[in-house]
This record gives sequence, C-alpha cells and structure tokens, in this order.
Amino acid sequence: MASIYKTLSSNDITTVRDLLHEAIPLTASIVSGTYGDNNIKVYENDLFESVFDYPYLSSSANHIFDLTAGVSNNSPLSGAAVAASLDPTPKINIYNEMAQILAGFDENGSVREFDRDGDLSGGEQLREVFVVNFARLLTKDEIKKQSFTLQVLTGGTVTSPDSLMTISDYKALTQYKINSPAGEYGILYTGSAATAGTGVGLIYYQAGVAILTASLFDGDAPNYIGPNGANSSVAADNFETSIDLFSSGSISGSADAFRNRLYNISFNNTIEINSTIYFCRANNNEFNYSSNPTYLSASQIVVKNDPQENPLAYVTSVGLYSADNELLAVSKLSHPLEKNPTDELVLRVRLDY
Amino acid sequence: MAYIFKFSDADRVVNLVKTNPRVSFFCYNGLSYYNNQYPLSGAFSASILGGPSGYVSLYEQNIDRSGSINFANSDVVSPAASNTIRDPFGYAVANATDPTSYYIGANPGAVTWKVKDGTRINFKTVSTKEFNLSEGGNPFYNDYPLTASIQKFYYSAASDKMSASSQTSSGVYVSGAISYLYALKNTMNYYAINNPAYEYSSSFRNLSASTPTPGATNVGLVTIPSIFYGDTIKRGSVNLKFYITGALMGELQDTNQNGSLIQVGPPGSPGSGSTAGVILYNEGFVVLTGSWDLSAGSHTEDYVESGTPATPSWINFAQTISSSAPACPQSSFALDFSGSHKIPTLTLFAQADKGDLNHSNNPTYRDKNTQILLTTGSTGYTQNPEALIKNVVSSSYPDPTGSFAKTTYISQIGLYDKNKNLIGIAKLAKPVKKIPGREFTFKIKMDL
Repeated sequence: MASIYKTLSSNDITTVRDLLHEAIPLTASIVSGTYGDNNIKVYENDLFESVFDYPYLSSSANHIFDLTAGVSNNSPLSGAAVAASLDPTPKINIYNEMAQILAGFDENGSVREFDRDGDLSGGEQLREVFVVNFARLLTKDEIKKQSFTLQVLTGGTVTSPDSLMTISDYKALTQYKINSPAGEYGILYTGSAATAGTGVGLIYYQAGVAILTASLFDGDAPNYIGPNGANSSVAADNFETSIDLFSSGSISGSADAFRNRLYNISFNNTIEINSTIYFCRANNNEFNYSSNPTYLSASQIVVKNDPQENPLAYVTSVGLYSADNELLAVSKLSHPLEKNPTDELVLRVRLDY
Repeated sequence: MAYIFKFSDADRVVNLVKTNPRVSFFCYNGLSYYNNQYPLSGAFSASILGGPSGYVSLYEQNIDRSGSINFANSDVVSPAASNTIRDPFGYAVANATDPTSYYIGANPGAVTWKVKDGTRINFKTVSTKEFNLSEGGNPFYNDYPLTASIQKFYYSAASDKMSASSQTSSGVYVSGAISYLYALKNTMNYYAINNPAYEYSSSFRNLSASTPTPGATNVGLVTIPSIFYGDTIKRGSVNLKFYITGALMGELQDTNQNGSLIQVGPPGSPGSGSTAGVILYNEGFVVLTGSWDLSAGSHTEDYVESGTPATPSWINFAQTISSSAPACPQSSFALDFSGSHKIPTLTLFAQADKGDLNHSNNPTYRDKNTQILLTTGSTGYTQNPEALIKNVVSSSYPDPTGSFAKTTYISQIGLYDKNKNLIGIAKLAKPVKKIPGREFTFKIKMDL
C-alpha cells in the first residue's frame, strides 16, 4: 500500500527569519523642481506638507514623506522672538506631538525633548527641529542602521548654493540607542568621526522618522538656508539663521525652505520574511508506490518493464495536512523525482508569511 | 486604561468575499493596452510605471524614474577590509563616501537586494549556479519594476514543439527543451475528460506533432499571467474579437461554459458556430486552432512573418504583440474576461458595554495641575492616589465647566492574541465619546 501520510516531528520543522532590503534613493529632482509644487500637498491646517513622487492628483503618485517643523516649549522661539503675527502654538504642538511619541515622557509625566546625544541624563536638547516622516512604503519594517544619508545644499543662494552638507548615521550599527518608546534610533552626524555630543539629528529606524536640528543652518553665509521672499537667487533674500526662518514663517514656509535645500536622501529599508521550513523525509521503504489511477495498467505498474524490478514512483508534489487530515497546502516540484527503495529523499518545503 | 475583553464565538464571523473584476486587453500595431490605459510619459521616463504599454507594474513603486543604483561599483563589490555588508548605501555611510556616486541616471529608482545567507532565499532572476558560486555575505539585487502582460506565441505545423536531449558526435550532451504548448499536454488531457475539445492529440489533430506527421497543425497560444485574473478566470466570461480595419470579423465566446471557444459572431461570418480553440481557466492559457479565413478571401496581411501574407484566422489572433511578428496595422484584437478573487475576511464585533471603558491612563486624562509623582527615593516610588481627573464636560459657559462626569474618548481598538501580544490595531476616523451610560459595538473587518 502506498504511504500517504507521514507525521512531521519537531525535528522536521524549523522557523527562520530572513531580511530583504530595498535601496531607496530620493533625489532633489523629486522633492523640488521637476514637477513644480504639483507633487507637494500643503494642507489647510498648515501643520505639515506631504511630498509625493509624482503630481499627487495622479493615481499613480506615491506618498514618500511628510515634512514639518517644530519648536520646544523651552525654545526661545516659543515666545517673544516669534513675529507677533505668527502664532508659535502650531510649531510647539508639532514638537510635542512628535516628541511624546518618539522621545516619550519623563518621570514627571512631562514630554521629553529630543536629546542631542541620546543620553537622557544630561547634555543638550534639540529644541528647533525639522521633522521628516517617511512613508511606510519606503521604510517598510524599518530603516536599516548605518545606511541613512541626507544631504542638504547650503550657502550662496537657493539657485546657486556653494556648499554640500552630508549627514549620516555614522557608526549607528554599534552605537544606536534603545531608550525611545518608538524603538531604536541613531544619531545623525555631519562628520564620520561621529564624535559624541556633535550630533545634528536623530533617525528613528522603526518609526521611519528623521529629526534634524534647525541649527544646521545657523551661522555665517555658508549655512544660509533660503528663500526669504520671491527672489531666491539673491543672497540678501536668504534666511540667514534658523531663528530667522522659524520666527518669520509658517510651518509650510519652513518646510518649503528646507525642501528647496534638500539635495539627496538615501537609505536601505528592511523587510522581514518569516518562514517555516518543513523537512519532508521519504525513507527508503516509503513512497515507492502510488495509488494514482494511471500508475497501473492491466494490473501492471506502468513505469516498470520487468516484474522483478524494484517498485518505482515519481514524486510530483507534497501535501501539508492538519492534525485532522485536512489538506492545508500543496507544494509542487519543478520536475518529478524518482523514488525507489534504494533512495531516500528530503524535500525542503518553505512557507513564507 | 487599557481593557482586554475576549471575543466570543458570536463576535467572530469569517466570510469569503468573491470578486470578479473585468479585464480587457486591446492589441493593435505591436502594442497591447490593458483596460484601455495609455502609458503616461513623465519627466524622466517614457512610461511613468516603468513598463511598456499593456504591462502591469507589480508595486507601482518607482514612478517616473530612470536609472538604477550601481551594485557593481568596484568600491562596493571588491572585498572591503572590514566585514561590512557591501551594499552601496551601507558602504557609503561606513566609508564616508557620497552615496550619489553610486547612482546611475538622473533619478534612479529603488532597488531590492538581499545578502546571501544560510536561508538560501534568493531572487528568481539569479540562477542557482550564480547563487552557489557567490560568497556568503554578498548582496544580490533586482531592479524594479516587476511587470507582466499577455503574450502571444505562434506554433506553425512545421515547427518542432520539443527537442529531446541528445549527444553530439563529439560526445557533448545537449539538453532538450519543450515549448510552452508542449508543456500544456498533461493539463489539456486532464480536462479532456469533461470536454473532448481539450484533447491534445486525437484522430484529427496532434498539437505536439510537426509536419509531415499526420495531425500536425498551426496553433496560436495566448498566455495570461495570473496577476490579471487572480484565482481563476470566470467561466463563460471570455470574449475574443478580431477586427480588420475596424470592422468585426469574428467573435469567440465560451457559450457552453465548458472551455470551448465557439465563434458566435458576427452573424453569418465564415466559421460561425465552429470551435476555434479552448481556454484553460485555471492556468490562464488560450489555445487557438481555428485556421479558417475570417474574411472569406477578402483580406490578407503579414501576421506571422514579414513578406508572407496570411489570411486572418484565429491562430493569428493578437499576433501583433509577439516580438517577432510584424505590426499588421490593419488588424486589431480585443480580449476580455473576468477574473475571480476569493478574499477571506474576518469580521469582529468589539463591545463597549455600559459601565466599561470609562477610564484612561493617558497622561492627558488627568488634570495637568495634579502632580502624579508623590514620593520617590531609594526605597520606593509612590504615585499620587488623589490625582485629579481633568473635567472635560462641556458647559454653556467657559468657566466654570459642567459637572464632573467620567468621560473617555475611544480612538482605537487593539487586537491581542491569546498570549496578550498586540497583533493589530483598528483606528477610528474620529474618537468616540464614551460615558458610563453609553454602549457601543465596533465592527472590525479585515482581509485575511
């Protein structure tokens, strides 16, 4: 009689996790320039703007990231430094919303500020920040550590910048932080030395959010961020500092200025593939016969010419059954395998989830 | 405060939703058009989806991109001194190089990649030999988009449908090969039990034979990838139309829903009522054998080979989309069918009864003037047991507020497994106000 069912033991089943990645390049041609602002969605509430990879009225367009800006309650920009006509509350609310999710709360129940070096016991905080919130389409399960690079053009004018600043999560593979409720995060540096305390932002790998200090654009002419008016080719029309920018513009104005200085973003994402592998073993004395109607013709085994030969069968598929013999899945071989009493087979069946 | 309730059997319903999306292909002048879509050109690409006309892009991820990422760059490929994984962006950060130096083209698209490891999971585009020869830790990559479309193959009666493995006179073994048509032999014979039209080889034809073997015949084969139809093509939904200079010359339908494609129109047309082929509903193949002249001698065109005029017949259906065929601009073809998708869905009813779900541990639930931490030290941590709850009851006046009543706003529902692992979250479009006297039932539906 043909063997039909064989119970899989715990030694025949194993689970594995594999990582698939995507290299994601986002050039400046997407975030500013090519499509005008037709791929930038600015909302009535002016709390953030969404960047698409194609004019967003097209059904083919994909949302790639949101851009916003926030200031902490403890920032000087939360009060008198802000132009009277501009209410700082939206930026404060944005900062608090982001910070409570990404940085969490302290022991008093107050929202923590973004910490520059990730050491919550002291040091400087990032109080005026740009927030780049990547779409799940791009980050998938998480951003891969030590692969994130963001490049911004600074200095000169928007149309003729004279510096390129490269920001990366240098050494994050070994120096990432775990003290955030949103998962693991790394420190973004402008130099590959990754000197403690010199970070300019944070990258939250599972949340897919990059925080960048606005002080990137502080200082002299080389750090001008740009446009303070219609004429983006005139140096005098630049915002010279982040103070100027944050205190003189709306959130979308700040986001636009940042977006027009973005040169490139690149990172690898990670997709986890969880699999169960079933090792289906056909021992020498098993599965050498078939109950298939075509196996016999006139009481003779079709694939045997001589009655004295060993029994022979061809394995074409493996069925996986539940404990009560319900067929759950069928795996097919690319070509039939010969099975006879002189051979044993191990068929490796993998189920991905 | 988080509350966990157990779903009863009455709260769980498993359903199967069956959908039959209509699919249409129109083939003309060397191109096919899927659901009448014309490829949009963008700033960087002639087709923003990345595939030619008539093709569907699997993820539609790289919209209007041109170029790729250089995984073959010598920086990346050559073994590095450190044990870093040698993908371009990881290499760029580890070695402080400019990642844009690994870009190819003005606006490269995303590239999927993975490292060779013990799981042996690999891209189908990488051969087993190439995979085995590669060192562990090396990345393999695959460009997007992944595309699919219908294809047309023409097998003349004279062509070999298979070649057996052989050995040359110098002793070299040559692997054999079989055509797509030959590979369908077992499948077609399987369905022949119900419909003799499926018989691969019979007294009057033999699809695997080549002339001068009796029964050898010309065959047209249209392949339909499963991404267009799902589980199976809906029986009886297939419709093939053959046009010449815009006039309908022939129409095929499976009127008996048994797989035979019968010419149903136009009325009085040559071959009307005859079976021109069969369709494999589960596998997505149309096998066409009807070779009668649909134009009754009034038209010829180069369907299969340039300079070889042929009469319009079903075996030449959609031949224009074959890469080796001439454009045959006077003929056009329509292929319509309905797919079939079975979508298992799970519906859960989450009850919020009166008296339940009336408290929250959200920090904003308590009055902000109330200190939550009472004492902390080396021996203990005590929270304030008299922390006040913020009164959010509205009033006609800004101050004072209304009389205090416990009020929460339900904004989301978490789904937990039996080990209390959070496995899903359902979010409400807007929070629902819950007071002790109100009860709600939330219907949560998800596709399995």
